[in-house]
Amino acid sequence: MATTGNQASSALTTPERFPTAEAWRQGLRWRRWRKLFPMLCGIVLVVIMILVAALAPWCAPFSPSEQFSAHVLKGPGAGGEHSLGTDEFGRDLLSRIIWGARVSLQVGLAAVVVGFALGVPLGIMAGFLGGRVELLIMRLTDMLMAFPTLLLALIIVAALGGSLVNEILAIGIALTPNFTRLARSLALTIRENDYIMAARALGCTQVRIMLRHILPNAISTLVVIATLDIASAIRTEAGLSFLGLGVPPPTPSWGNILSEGRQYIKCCTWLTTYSGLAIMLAVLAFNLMGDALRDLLDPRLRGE
Amino acid sequence: MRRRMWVRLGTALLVTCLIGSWCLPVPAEAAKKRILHFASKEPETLDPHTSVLGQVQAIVRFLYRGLTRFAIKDGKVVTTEVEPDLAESWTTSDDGTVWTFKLRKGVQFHKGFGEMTAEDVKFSFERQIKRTKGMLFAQNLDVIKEITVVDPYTVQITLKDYDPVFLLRMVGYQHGYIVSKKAAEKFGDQFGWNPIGTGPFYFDKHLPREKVIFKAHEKYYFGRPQIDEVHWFDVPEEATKLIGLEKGTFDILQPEAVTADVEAQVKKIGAVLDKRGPGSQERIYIDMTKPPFDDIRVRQAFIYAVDRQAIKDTLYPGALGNLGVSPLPPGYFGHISMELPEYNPDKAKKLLADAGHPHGFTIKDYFISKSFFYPKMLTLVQEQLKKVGINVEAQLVEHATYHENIRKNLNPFVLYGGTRITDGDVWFGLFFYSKEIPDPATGNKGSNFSHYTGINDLIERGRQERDPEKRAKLYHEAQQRIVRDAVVIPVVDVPNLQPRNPKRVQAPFDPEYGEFAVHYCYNYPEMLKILD
Amino acid sequence: MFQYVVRRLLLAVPMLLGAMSIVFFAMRVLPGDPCIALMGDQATREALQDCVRDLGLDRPVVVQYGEFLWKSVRLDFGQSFRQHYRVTDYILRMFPYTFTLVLASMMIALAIGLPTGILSALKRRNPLIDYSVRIIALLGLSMPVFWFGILLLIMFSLHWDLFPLIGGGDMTTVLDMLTSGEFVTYPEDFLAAVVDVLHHLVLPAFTLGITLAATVSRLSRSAMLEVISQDYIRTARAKGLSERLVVYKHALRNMTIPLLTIIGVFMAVAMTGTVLTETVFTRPGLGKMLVDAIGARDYPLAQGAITVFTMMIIGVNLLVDILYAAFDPRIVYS
Repeated sequence: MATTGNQASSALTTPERFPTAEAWRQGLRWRRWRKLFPMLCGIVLVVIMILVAALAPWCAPFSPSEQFSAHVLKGPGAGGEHSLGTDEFGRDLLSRIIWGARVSLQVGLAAVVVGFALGVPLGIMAGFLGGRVELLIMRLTDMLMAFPTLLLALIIVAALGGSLVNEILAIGIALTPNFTRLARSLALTIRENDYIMAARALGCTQVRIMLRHILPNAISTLVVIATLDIASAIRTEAGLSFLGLGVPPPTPSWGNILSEGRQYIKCCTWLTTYSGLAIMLAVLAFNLMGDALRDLLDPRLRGE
Repeated sequence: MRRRMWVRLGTALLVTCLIGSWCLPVPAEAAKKRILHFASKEPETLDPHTSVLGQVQAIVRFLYRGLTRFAIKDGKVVTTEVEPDLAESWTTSDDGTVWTFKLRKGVQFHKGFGEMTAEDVKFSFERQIKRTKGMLFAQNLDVIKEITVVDPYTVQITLKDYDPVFLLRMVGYQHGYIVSKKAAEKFGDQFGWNPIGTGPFYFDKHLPREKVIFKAHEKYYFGRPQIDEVHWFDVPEEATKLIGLEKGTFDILQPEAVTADVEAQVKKIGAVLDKRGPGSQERIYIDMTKPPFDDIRVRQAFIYAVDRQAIKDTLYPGALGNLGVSPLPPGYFGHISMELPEYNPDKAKKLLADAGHPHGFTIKDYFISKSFFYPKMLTLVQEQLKKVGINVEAQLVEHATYHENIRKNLNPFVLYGGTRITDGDVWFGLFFYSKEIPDPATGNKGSNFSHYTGINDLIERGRQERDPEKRAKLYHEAQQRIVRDAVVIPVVDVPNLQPRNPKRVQAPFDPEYGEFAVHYCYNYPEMLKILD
Repeated sequence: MFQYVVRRLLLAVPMLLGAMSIVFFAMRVLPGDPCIALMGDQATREALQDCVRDLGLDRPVVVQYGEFLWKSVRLDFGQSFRQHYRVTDYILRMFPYTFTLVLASMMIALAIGLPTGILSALKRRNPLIDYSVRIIALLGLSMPVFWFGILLLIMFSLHWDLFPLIGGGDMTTVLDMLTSGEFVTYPEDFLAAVVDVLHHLVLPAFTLGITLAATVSRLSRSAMLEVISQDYIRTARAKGLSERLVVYKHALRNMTIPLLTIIGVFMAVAMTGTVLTETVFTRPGLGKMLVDAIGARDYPLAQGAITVFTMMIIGVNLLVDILYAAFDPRIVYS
């Protein structure tokens, strides 16, 4: 820990305040715990969400499309069974949100995988091989980056039609330039290292170098960014569903619950509130996890 | 440093603006004009013959009139009779094919474009008959053979055949509006945003994506309207419309899609819901040529599986809609109430099993529009069909794409909504006549989505029938055949609804169906009054 | 330096062309015929054919593409398919509204996001402050724009009647008076019009600004962390400088470049945000117009709007790159 001049002087003049070894180790443990706590929170939240989504058929009290015409647009606690209320068709909101988690999480994770799988190889090739390959790849990337993410995804989904797979593709493609850029700058840095030169001297092919040397060293940073992009993908999915370009009815997704609820924002606020909260929680969880991961993996901050 | 200075400056500016916006008075309207604030969607054009969009048809009624208009009887507007409007009187030849209209004298067009004469009437119809670019309602005038200008105030229209609906066709609606020949020729393609008609208001300004401004026509032949200006706002969010009505920003709303709670909301803020019949009938056509619906038992099962009452109660509870009672909606000439099959999912399952589908079946690649009532109704129908084993896998598409696809016969059953000229001849002729079966091969873009051919003879005989009672009987028989052949489910009749602020605006007719008209908006907007 | 600028400009041109081409072909790949969108479902076959011919859609795609590029160079984007006004007129009318919205929300986002991000970075050893600031920022980031917007409308416009419900204010008067020079001769009218515009700007800018502040906060936090861990900061501390001086004199100064990056990233995110914000607040603007045009298959309008969008983003990034070079001479030589 860096100490300022003032602290050091007070430590010297008052020996009683100097901590014992045991106290100091306890302090260290406490500090490390304080650091890990948020990441744990994030991870726990994420795990809970994934579990709930995966076990939706057992977690959700009702089917997401079952319509209870006796309880239409009723608030939380309606009929003693609907803890979060019902929507305009009398469908249970809690069940819809649980099933909606499936769509939102699936899209979030899969879209990032797509972006990763497309963007990282391109970026590493651009960074490592340089020359015309780099020029071509980076110009394409820049062109795509000039588009706002939502608009690019919007155009792709509008062209292909609204469905789960198309959403994943669209958001994945929209995320690709980000990965390409990052992978390229990482490759550029790693390329300058001595062991790369050594590998080349030993006669490794370029592909082998990229796969076995550059990629493993870049992966930690890339994973952090991927985690943060999951949050971004979930938000974009909500935006697309909101604009009517998401999964088709009656499949719920947090975005389309939000969108359907907006007409009732004056009378029946629970529709928008709980779906909005779900989105916020998911984004929060993934961001916490990603931020903490980054703090952990960044060597400059590790020792502090 | 510099950045902090900018941050400080920015915050200071923001605070100043906030304070300033409270202190400085909002500029008051000069000389207390009477302005009507309408919240709706922006029209694409103000040329009445070239657009079928709801908001355009609603708005052009402010600008144009026709030869006749829907009659006002006992303080109500009715669709069963017409009154003179731009035409003072008319006579018809013995065989009913030659109509002679005597025009009102002294009717002035907007902005000094002169007096309306027979030349304008001839021009207004001929530009559509000649299929000038963009004309959309020409088929309504197909029955006209020739138009002759006898003298400046007399027009003679010769029909190809006797047409029982002709006077209704001459109502100021869609093709029936009279436009200024001089203006249309002068502005050509730009007439859409330089409209000139004879209506109670004239076009003043258009602020794209914001509002359209109309001003009162001083020389309107029935007297200058009480309202000075109409501001027609473009408001895409339904929630904003309601908030605006409560706050006083808007006086009348034109909702695009009605939500189930609108009646409660409107009552809560002390507003009034103006209901206008016959409104739009939302129905489901079953394509009888597409397997498995070519088997009548499957069609009947389908009809038994759909719970129309539940749909009505969910989408249009209370007075917001009426359960459908016939394939020909009430308010249309020739309508009678029919006995329609009741909801019975068990019977549906049995019929399906009899027809060879004991476990139901799946419909893939089903298209539905994402606008208006379509997605909501499909959601309800999907769930009901699932209970008898029919699974529908749907995809949302743009409204325009939806209309394209249903004419390519891509859906085995078609949700449709809308209204037409209020006569059985027109309705059957468009939706149940074999000449209107859509066929991508021949390019036929008709709307007989059931591919029904069972009442051709009745339609054709009706066109020749001079006695209205006998004609009505033909249409009664037509409705019976349609119900017997199980080709359509009339789900709900939804009236035209406008939430209105009664403390600001007084409407001329009773909010409870005081007006029957095909227009999506007020039939006589000049009779609206602003209360000071 | 001049060479650097020219190089950057030359690079921007193919990017712009590429983006425009993507839009052109993407629009034509979209299912749905503009003519049917225009004329509705009751149009006859002849009417549709006439429409297709009028709009020039019956020509081979290559010809249409060539004409599109040629005309766009002269900033002639054609006429809207629906209302037939010139696309350039639409863009000129909508641009000031979107521009002021983006500018105002950027100011709010910076005013809120920068201090919180920097604070969170400096106080990172106090997880209470660090994480509470970060969580609040994240909440802002993930909150749906329209939900927040309508909530603000109900509270401030309906219940307390402090702000207008719809519209962008008297922008035309402001612009007219500026161009004609009348703002000098009629200062009260000009001020009234300006205040009206600002009055309509507060709620939407605040809504968008809050959601953007979160992004700014996160980016400035990581930028500040970068800077703090540099060697020269350690040197400054070792020299015995007070923490306050270290932060203000050294750290913040070196934040300028990351700040520029933030602004560059910001533009694209802000553009996306304007789409929903303009819809909720019924404000005229490019974002709402664009989504609307794509939905209605109004090719010229959509193409024109996206071109302007990407021009704005590329322009800002270009400016950022040039300012980079101005602040850090090392960049020019790389």
